[in-house]
Amino acid sequence: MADVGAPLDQVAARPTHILVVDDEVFNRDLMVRTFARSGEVVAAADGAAALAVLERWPVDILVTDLALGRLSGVELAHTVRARWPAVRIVVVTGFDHDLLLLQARAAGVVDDVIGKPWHPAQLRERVLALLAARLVTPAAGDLSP
Amino acid sequence: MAKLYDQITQLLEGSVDAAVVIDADRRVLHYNLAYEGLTGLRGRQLAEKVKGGARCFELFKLEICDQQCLGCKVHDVGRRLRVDEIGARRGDGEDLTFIVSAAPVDLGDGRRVVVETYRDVTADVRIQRRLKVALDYERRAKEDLEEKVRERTSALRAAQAQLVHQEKMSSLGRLVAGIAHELNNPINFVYGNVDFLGQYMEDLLRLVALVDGAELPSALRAQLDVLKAEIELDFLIDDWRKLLRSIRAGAERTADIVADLKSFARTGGTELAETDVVAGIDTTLNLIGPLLKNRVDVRRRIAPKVPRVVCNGGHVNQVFMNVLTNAAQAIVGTGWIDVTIDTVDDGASIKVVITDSGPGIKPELMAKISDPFFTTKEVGEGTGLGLWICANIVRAHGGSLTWGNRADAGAEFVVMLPVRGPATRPEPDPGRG
Ligand SMILES: Nc1ncnc2c1ncn2[C@@H]1O[C@H](COP(=O)(O)OP(=O)(O)OP(=O)(O)O)[C@@H](O)[C@H]1O
Ligand SMILES: [Mg+2]
Repeated sequence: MADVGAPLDQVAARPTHILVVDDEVFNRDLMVRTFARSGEVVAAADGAAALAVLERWPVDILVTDLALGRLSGVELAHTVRARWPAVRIVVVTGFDHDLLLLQARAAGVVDDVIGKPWHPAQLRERVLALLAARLVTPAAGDLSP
Repeated sequence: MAKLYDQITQLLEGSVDAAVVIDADRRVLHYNLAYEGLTGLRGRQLAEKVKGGARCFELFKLEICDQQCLGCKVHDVGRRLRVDEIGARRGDGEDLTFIVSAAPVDLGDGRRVVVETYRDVTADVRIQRRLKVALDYERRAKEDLEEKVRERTSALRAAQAQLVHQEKMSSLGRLVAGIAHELNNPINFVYGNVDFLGQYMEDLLRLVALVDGAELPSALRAQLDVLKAEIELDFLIDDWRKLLRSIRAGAERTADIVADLKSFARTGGTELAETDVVAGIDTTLNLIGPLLKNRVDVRRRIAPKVPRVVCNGGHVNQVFMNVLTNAAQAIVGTGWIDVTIDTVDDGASIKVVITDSGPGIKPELMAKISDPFFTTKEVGEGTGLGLWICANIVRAHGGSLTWGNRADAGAEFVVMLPVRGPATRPEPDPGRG
């Protein structure tokens, strides 16, 4: 896993890699637009496509919708957290009371939850705040033991 | 006319009823065999007494003899009288019941005597009383049964009403949640894209301004001026921000409604929590907006600093939903609804008064409108459960729901809720009694 434990200066040196996942095309476009100036953005329409991106591209932040069809945002988050623990994960949802989501958030699988409808500036701010926090205090799991 | 007298005494001899003949002084002139039995005196003893001028009440006394004398009365008025169910103690001490009849007889020589007969109906009366007790018992048992059937029926009706209502509310909840969810995405991309659109416009107009301000070849300048006139650039620059603002306002308002719908749909729980009832009423008004649109003017008067109320927010919202819907439905054509929210009882309760400009409640229906299934609405339009549920909910919160008509308006509904929620009755503690 190339990105795990990558030296901090390397992470900081390249533009932030942001993966956005939403099955609704207009919202996906909006997410891309939202992060266009904050780094490099790749979009995926479902969980499988998102995993395919993660396999070949070092992602810093994953922003996913909760309701994604076959593989839900929470399921995607669990998979990503297990395989790429350094990736920050933000779930965007209309169901801010979804039980599985709340559990995932409590377990640290999901780093932040943002309710719909969201405002681009707000979403960008919250996502970048997570990234800044990662740069300042890397979680133990981010560095090789 | 000794002959008449003799005939009478002979007649009495054969009678099973006890009988005496008395004069105006109530002295016994004659008695029959059955009378002997009543007095408890032996034949000779009785004969002696009678010969000695004994009066009837001295030989056998009825319970009425002390207050009034039947014989005297009959003697005076000259008319037959009869009294049923008179008690008397027989000579041997037994208490019996009699039908007493007294008839005046004019003997023709100016003398008037009274013939008094006593029929012992003790056994009859006893049987009748027993019969009456038995009948009463049976009647009461039947009434009890009917009452029980009535109780069960109304309990069943109430349970049915509750079910129907729950089903109605939960399918409403599901419906609302579904709508909210479906709206979430489109709202999101309208709401979220507005700022980008603004930014892009801003950028483009900067470019336009730059070009417009630059030195241009005269042909190009002429072309530019024609185009500027054609697209009314000045107006466009003036108008586009307004346009964007109204799109944003529309998106925001829709987003608010979606948020309302979501919170409304989330009200299935039974728990009590501090709730902003004023906001709940606002949400309810938003939800029933289509019922009110352009027809009903809603006027709110909300006292400053209305406290939050410990209640089941979902249930309490239902109360306002029902009362406000009723008010809106009561208004034919245009009208108004007044919603007044105050803090009362030194801050211990909140009071919500909802008055409408409708026709009011018919006086004869006043007591009935909160009965389950009572409705004056068309089939399919109302279940008649609204106020029944409201009354139950408010009662469960230790509050009150009352209504009446206003002389200057239509109906008025008053909801009172204790701020601290339903008083929790202390559980009886068996340890300390
Ligand atoms: N504001 C009002 N003005 C006049 N009549 C009213 C008003 N509110 C209620 N009523 C009367 O009380 C009846 C019962 O009201 P309730 O809310 O219990 O049932 P409903 O409105 O008929 O049916 P549902 O609430 O189930 O749709 C109504 O049918 C109506 O006749
Ligand atoms: Mg109603």
